[in-house]
Amino acid sequence: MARITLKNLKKAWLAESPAVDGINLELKEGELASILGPSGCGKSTTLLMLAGIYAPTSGEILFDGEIVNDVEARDRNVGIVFQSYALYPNMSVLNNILFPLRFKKLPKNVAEKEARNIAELVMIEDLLERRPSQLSGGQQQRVALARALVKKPNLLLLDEPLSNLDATLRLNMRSEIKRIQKELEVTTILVTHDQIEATTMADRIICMNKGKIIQLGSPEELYKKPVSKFVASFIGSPPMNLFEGQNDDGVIRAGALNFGMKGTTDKKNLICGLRPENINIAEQGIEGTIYTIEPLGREILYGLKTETGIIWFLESTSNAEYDIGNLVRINFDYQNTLVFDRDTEERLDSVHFYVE
Amino acid sequence: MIQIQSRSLAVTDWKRLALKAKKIRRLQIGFLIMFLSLVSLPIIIPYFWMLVISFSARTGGVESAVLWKALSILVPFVMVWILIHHNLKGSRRVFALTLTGIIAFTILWNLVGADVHLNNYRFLINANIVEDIRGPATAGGQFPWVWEAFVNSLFVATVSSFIKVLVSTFAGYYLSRFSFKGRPGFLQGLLVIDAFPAMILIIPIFILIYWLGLLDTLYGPILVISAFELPFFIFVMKGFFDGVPWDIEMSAISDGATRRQAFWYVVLPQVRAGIIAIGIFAFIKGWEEYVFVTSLRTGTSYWVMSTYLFYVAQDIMGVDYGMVAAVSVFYLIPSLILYLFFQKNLTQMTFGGVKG
Repeated sequence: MARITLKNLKKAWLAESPAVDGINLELKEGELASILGPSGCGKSTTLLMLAGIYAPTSGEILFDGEIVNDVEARDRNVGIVFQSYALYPNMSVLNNILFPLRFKKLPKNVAEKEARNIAELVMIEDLLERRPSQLSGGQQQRVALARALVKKPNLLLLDEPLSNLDATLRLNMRSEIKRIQKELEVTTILVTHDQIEATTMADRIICMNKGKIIQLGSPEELYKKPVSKFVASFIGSPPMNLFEGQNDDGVIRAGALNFGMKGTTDKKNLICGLRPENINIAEQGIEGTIYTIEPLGREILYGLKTETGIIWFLESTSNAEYDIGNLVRINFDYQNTLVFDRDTEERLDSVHFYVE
Repeated sequence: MIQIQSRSLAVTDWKRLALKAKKIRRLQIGFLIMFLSLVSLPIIIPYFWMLVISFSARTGGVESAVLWKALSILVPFVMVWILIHHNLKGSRRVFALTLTGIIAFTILWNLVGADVHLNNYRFLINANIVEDIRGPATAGGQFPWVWEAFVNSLFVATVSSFIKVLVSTFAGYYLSRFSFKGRPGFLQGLLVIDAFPAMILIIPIFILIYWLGLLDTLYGPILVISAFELPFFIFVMKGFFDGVPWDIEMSAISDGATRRQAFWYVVLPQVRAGIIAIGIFAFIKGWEEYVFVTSLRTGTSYWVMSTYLFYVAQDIMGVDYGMVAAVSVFYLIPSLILYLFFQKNLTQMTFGGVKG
């Protein structure tokens, strides 16, 4: 249970293209942070550097303010849950959980008691005599979690822990992991490429791309105030509508449509962002024909063919339902719209657009 | 379009197709069994003949009549055995099998029982078999008791397989896990060495062993056969280690194990099947070794089973086929026992590594 600090952390297998390119980060004690990013963005490399498996090329890793760069992986007391769970197939579940304690030189009965306590916490106390191969995916996941937690780690690292589980189990484990993490108050880093996992579980999200941190903040911050088009398109499901526009003295021309602009910018080339959940059917607004329909249960995702291309929007099932080919109009509140600079892909603060 | 499809469905005679498929499947299986039986006969019959000769031949002559009599009982017996095994279950199967077994044995005993004797196996208890056969003072003292050759063979096989297993395990692990300069070249080299026949190096090896002062000792052939077979075994072990996921090792290390402990507790148990497999292969190779044990001795300084068998089959013993067969059977037994006990492990040996 430690405070973790990363200072300008860098890892370069090849000098010209670093996998992790200068990361600065500060994690509070007991915090659950999530590193979110597409595959190959350096999130797993960061994780393995924290664990001490990889040595950083440059930069510092600090646990509670002490530099641990040169501390061996086995002495860092870091618990990892791998995507493959990495259970030891030759040992029973109990021995798997006891394995980390073996090196702590605890008396046997004390170690076993701790192992049983943690097994109870993750609810696998009935499975202790089994072999990993006799367990289901979800049970293996719990064993891996127990093994990572039994040594009372300074830091818990979860590397895509849910991606091998089926949908219901994933939902279940998401809240389970959060519950256990809060109960033990262990500083945790969750690596994932699934934005739902990140937003539902984490206190803070670290959005990474190409080895760099793009944005760091609470899930709400990332959702409402993404710093760039990358973050905006990564967070939120279904993904944000993005379309290109031209700034023509306070009027955004996007295809054949014109939008009014709130706020001012001297940038000419813009990208407009609009979340499907912020769009409503309206009397006045953009006209289009329904193109695709995806029922999601409580809501229906419509694809509307407009003059700027397809715009996706969500409508509650309780409202009137539409068929393919129906003519509808949509509108939205300007406060929920985002505008990005097309060249730098950065968000332009307090610039919005609306239907004229 | 839809109409055409439904019409073609209506005329399909599913029952006829199912019957046809069944017939073809049955024919295929029948053909396969026939083919395999025919192919295995030339392999099984010589072994069986050897066994029959060893128990029935009297000085010089070979009683082929015994073979035919025995086969005429045993072939129908095996067929009946298979039929019973397929068609009956539980206690009825056991009863039927015992009954046919007893009947077959009784008939067999009445037919050939009078011809069966153990005289050909007298070399097992007679320390000086040459004198026994050719009278006193014939090459006496030169030719050893069979147990001496047996112990020597056991020594060669055990020590060489121990060396092979030890070296190939460590080398395989290193090649699988560590990158070092010249690793690809080393791997290619291993394969190239294996491609040359060992025979072409006999003279240089003889000289080398002479310089080392190991001529006429068992250590000569042990070292040489270990060296010659190591490349292949190293390659096989590398394949097994490649099959062990990295995650497991990383997990062990972050659980507090040193690299060596991780290897010992976590990685090694997972290549157990591979170690057993190459251990058995190495043992059998050492057990059957003939070329180097004959070429690296100048007189009759040591005897192993292969050279013993060779001399028994030579004129010096006055070609006694009964005894040749008996020695062969005796020579075969250790390999057979190993195969029977570790069959399962041997079939797991694939170039790719560990199966499921």
